[in-house]
Amino acid sequence: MTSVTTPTLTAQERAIAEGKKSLYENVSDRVLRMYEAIRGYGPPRVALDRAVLFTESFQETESQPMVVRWAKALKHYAEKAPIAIFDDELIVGRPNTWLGRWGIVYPELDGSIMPGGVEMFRKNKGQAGEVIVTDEDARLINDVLTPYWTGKDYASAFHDALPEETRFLMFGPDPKNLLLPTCVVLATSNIRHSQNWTPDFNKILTRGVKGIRAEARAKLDALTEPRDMIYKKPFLEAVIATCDAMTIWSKRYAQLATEMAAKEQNPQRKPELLTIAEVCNWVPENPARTFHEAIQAQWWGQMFNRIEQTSSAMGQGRMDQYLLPYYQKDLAEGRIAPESATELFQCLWIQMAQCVEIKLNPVAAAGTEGFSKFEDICLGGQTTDGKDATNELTYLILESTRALQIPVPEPCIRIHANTPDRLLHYVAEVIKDGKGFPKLLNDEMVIPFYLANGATMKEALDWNISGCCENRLINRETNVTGNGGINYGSVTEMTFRNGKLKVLKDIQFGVQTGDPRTWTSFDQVWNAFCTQLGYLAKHALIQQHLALKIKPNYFAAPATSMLHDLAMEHCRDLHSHGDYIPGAIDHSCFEAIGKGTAIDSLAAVKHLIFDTKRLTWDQLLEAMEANWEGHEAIRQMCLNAPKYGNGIEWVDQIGWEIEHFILEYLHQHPKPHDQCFLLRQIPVTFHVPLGKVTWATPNGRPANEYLAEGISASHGMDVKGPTVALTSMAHGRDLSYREKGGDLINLKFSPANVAGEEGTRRLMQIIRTWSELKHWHVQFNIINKQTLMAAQKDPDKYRNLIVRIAGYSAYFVDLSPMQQAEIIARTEEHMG
Amino acid sequence: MTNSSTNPTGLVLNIQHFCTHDGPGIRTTVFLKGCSLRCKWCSNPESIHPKPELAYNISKCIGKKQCGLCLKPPCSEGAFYVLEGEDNRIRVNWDLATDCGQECVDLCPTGALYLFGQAMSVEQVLDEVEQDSTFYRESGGGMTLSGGECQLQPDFSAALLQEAHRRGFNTAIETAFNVPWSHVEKVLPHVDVVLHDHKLTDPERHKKWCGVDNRQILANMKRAYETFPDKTFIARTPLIPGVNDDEEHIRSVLAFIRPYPNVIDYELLPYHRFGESKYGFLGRVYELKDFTSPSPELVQRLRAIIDEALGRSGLLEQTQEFKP
Repeated sequence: MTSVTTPTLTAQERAIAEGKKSLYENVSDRVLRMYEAIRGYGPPRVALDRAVLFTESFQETESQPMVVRWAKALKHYAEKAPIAIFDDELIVGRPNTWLGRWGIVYPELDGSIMPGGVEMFRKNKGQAGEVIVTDEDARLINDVLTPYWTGKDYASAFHDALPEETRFLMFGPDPKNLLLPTCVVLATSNIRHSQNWTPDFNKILTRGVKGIRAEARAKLDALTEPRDMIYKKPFLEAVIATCDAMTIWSKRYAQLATEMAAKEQNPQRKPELLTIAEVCNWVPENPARTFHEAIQAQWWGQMFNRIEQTSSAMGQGRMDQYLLPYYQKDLAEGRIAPESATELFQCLWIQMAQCVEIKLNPVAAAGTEGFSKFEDICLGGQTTDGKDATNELTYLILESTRALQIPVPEPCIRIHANTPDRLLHYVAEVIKDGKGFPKLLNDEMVIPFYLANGATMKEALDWNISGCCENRLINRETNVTGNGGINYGSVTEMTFRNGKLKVLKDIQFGVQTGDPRTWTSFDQVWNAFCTQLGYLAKHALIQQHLALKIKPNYFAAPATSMLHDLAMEHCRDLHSHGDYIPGAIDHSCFEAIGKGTAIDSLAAVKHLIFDTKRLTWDQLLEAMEANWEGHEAIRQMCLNAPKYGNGIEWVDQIGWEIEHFILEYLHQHPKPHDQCFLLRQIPVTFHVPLGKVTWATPNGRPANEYLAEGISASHGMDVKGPTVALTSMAHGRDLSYREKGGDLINLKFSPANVAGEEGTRRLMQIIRTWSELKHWHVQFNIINKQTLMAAQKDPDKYRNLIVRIAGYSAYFVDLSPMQQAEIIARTEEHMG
Repeated sequence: MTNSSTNPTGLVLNIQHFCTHDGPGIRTTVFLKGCSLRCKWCSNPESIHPKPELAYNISKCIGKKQCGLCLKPPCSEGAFYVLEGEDNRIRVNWDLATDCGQECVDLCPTGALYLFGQAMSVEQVLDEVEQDSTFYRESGGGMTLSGGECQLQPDFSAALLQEAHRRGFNTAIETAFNVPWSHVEKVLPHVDVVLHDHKLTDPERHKKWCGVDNRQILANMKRAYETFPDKTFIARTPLIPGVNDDEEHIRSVLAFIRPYPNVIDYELLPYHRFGESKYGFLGRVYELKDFTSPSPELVQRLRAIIDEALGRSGLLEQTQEFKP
């Protein structure tokens, strides 16, 4: 700190300042060329082939079982979709015909609102969130897709089937409004087919789709029961058709590569194309024999799952575990070296980085800014024998992702008590690069969670990171329905405005809990808060039950289901999990966003109105009603009232009470078959749009401003440093319920604070302590504030700057000004 | 402060969490108020006076039009006023603000007016310190007492340190040793690591820059090194340009500590002026307005001398900064 004029730069900041293409040198020219082509392409473009071909197929199969329709559509796609192989590619297969970012549109999901989405994307031209929709794309959407899907898509069916009261809470008084949710009670089943999911790709590697097809065939041949002809036969036929589709698609690529090789003049590229042809001829049909085949087979698995449906997030599974045998064998037999394995990995990462999530719904888009995509590579953790699972691939994979300026894939580390220091040290060093990678999840929390929810110890030890901070037992869990949720900001506002929401035209949304002026004790405030919270929670569950019930009529996922043990065993598509698949752990998720805002609001009222009596209800309510205008002194009192995240026991305890209330509610209202709803507090970027509909709150927050994110304290309000913030957050959680699911923590440091070996060790100690405190997740933003502000001014220079959002990273320039400001406002922790 | 030895309370300035330069590991540093030196470079001027003290950060004030709460009773002294025609922000008449306490500060909704120093019990301090205990486990950290001069409150300090040990924490103090030996005798038995300042060698210059000469200090140091052979001592010099940033001072400190194997290290803390704004908040003047931080080259050269004298390769990373 001798000189404050030259800030310590992270590896990422240094690379941008020096105009380098990558952070480190371990990137081949091939990968760099592809990287440049992709970044040079500009914003993502809608990829419509899948939508058009699915629509063609669906028009032909209208009376058939949904799972069969899906498989036939996949096969139609595999046979007809245009395909392309680009220079430098070693791993091939894409749903588009340009080298650049693409986003598949799924009309069966929300086709009714597509024209509105197109308009929005085109309006965004030149701004954050821009998506390229060419005139031809727009024509296809408006003239081909929309006419067929209007009224047939899931989102509109779900909307129409909602009970009136629930629909009112979700979409407001206009019964025709499908597009703009109120953000009071939330659904995500209508913006994605599936909750975050991790398919068991290893089955494609070890068995080939041939093996899966044979299993389905044998099961089909053995069916005799009349009932099975209705319930099982379609599924098995669909699996067979899906396996065929995957083989057809890969062989078309093999054919294309062979043709291209014949014409290729470049003596280096020619053998590469022949290798691609050989690999694609073999996988995914057959079990992979080499590391290259394993990577390509994994990508086929990914691609087919993406063509099938979107889950907004696709976990890649425990790659350091299931790829290890292929790597070691090739290494031993001299087919590969660490450098060439790194290049293959990077070719895969470059493919993944081109895939973005496009949301047609404007609020969904605002809630997942930067084209959020959770493509987790789960690393480290423990083996099913209960030993540390770190191996040479753990390091190699981390190293291969480290150099590239791409926001996906996302390495994530399972931390446990015996995570080796060597790994932790390396992880801390990678975190210091400043891209927000890797994120960390905690075995010490997740394994007990699974044991409480019916997993065996061996199963629990094998859990996967999947999504933002979610977790999966990929052959035991079945929940593939997007979660419901509530807005803590709305709950807070309704508490103090007798159930009304000012931004939403002062309509009576919540319960009439009375005029606060009549309340004489904090208990009355708390009771009103709980009444509003319980009311919204109830409707969040109602909409979830509806989603579970009607989804099988609209979606099927044979390519995903055939990789799941229970789905195959019972010949059931995963989308029918609402009926319960025997043996499953079948949660549904209940999301709650803005916890810190609610705690601080209640704490301010307790402190100012009741404990110190510095304010009267009239003063506070008038000031809030005026959005603090003309009442700055009162707002200052609210801002300076005791805040969550500072080790103040009674304040943190409010956080515990809120969780306790919801968890008990969820516990009292379980799902059938001894399954439950989980409380999760993971914002993605929804805390921004949810804040937009929330009026001024007693914590001093002005109307429309973002809410607190995850379980973090309100922005800039945790002033005692990361040790206190982490322990405070730990005290604000109720760990005594099996319904307690994931939550998200952001920590932000300036690079100078974690500089050098000393800084690395501090980070290691913080991570170890975080694990001991039984937190679920943590992610780090290590970046200079000046860099972010410079990027706001000069987006071109900083177009490759990656920042941490919430369980994912994104290009800073892909974020809206509001979201950029939110990132800058996050509390920066300091070491004294 | 009432310093009954059974249940002492002390005047605490601040409890700072997540300190990484005040002893081993991740630490929680408790700053006690009151100092017996007047170093002109002091970066914690709020720690000098042994009484609670009013401070005012004008940039937080929202002014008379929107607030003006501090202008109304109960401040009978009229210590706060507004310059009409100016920016309508409050000004403090420091001559009248001598008796300001919590009730005055509570008037201010913005935190522009605040109080440095509050009376705390051993229990209160340790309860806050203990919040970080999980971090001590992993990092080998603990509690550090700093100041001001923590040894000016010997009973309170001893009780804090003793209680920290009882709760299983490593303890450290930052001291200048300008206290009667009887204080040292009370405090040091409960300390694991003693971080202490060698500010200047020459007694006269010490007096010029720190307000008193260094005879008592040097005597205490020697006696402490000898009386507590099992404690770890770390010598430090806040490196002030033109005052003590010369080879001669460094070498004389090295000569002073050389005979004592329990003085395990000698650190240089380059001068910075992060404390300057606080002089303004207290209505005082910062005298070293023209001083700059010592150059990195000079610091490196002086550290090399230390490394050589202590038999180190010099490759060790030196990241210590001046934390008075």
